[in-house]
Amino acid sequence: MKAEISGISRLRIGIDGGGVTTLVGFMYCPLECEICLNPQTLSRSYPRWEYTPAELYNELRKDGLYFLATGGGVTFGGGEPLLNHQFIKEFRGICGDQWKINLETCLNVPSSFLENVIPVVDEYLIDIKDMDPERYFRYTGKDNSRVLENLQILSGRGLSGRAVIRIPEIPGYNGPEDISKSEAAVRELGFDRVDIFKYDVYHGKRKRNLQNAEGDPPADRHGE
Amino acid sequence: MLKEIRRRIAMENDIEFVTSDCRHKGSCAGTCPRCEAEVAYLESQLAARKRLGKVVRVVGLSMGLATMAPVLFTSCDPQDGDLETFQLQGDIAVEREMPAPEQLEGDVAIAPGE
Repeated sequence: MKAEISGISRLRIGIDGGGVTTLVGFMYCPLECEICLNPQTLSRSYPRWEYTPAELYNELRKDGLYFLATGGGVTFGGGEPLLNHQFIKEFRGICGDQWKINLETCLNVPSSFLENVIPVVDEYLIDIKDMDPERYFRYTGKDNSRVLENLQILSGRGLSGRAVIRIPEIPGYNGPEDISKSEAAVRELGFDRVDIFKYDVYHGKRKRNLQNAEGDPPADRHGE
Repeated sequence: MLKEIRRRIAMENDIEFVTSDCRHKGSCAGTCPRCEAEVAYLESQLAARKRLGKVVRVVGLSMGLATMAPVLFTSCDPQDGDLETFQLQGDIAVEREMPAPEQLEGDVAIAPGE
């Protein structure tokens, strides 16, 4: 099994998970957001690298001492990491139990993808965009019913404490009142750790339909 | 901070913490040759202790350090000394022969000045 990876960012502290972490960015995403901070994960016109779980482990283990000493580990992002759920599960089998595995995810994937990795993931960093279905669709081009379903799965399994729900203020799409509604909705689902922030529109480069214009396959197929 | 973690691992395991002059220019994310060499040295020393049946202490040694979560740090003391700290923004470490990818930002970022 191989996964396409857009980049590896080593030795991060306090950015995406506790302790010292290494961010691994997978290629491809099911969403077509108007603003994307990592457009290089969306298109085959950007450089990308293929790894097996064992190859990735060999690449990352050089920082294993830092992970163990600080309670850190690997944060899988992207792109949407859950498109590579089986890869992540196999990676856990290789790295063992002492590294933390975190996911930066939008959760807009079939619930079976999430269910597959629940036993191996320590923390979830979930960017829900906006809980209003119409606004979510306008911004991402996708329906958010899978997001809701997967939030309910995490909450129902008693895993809400392992999740940080990130609610972005997206210029031109939502405002403080909308964000408050989204926050209330996720708290209603049992999630107490909420991070409200503002998208950096200066670094978000990708515009919708870039992917299709370049002839890439729909991301939904990847990893299924 | 990474240097402090290395120092603490060495201290807790009775390993002499060996440092050398760093020839790296500019800020260091912990991936310069000096930092990498210090990690490799620690790993070899820890492995040697394991072989001798000694107890090795690494897990959780620096939990407090990392949960303080400062974003500003430098891993070693670069020779030029111009930058004592730097902001870690998610630059991709280029580990293979390849063109440099763009910055990997994670899913989120804070707008400048926020």
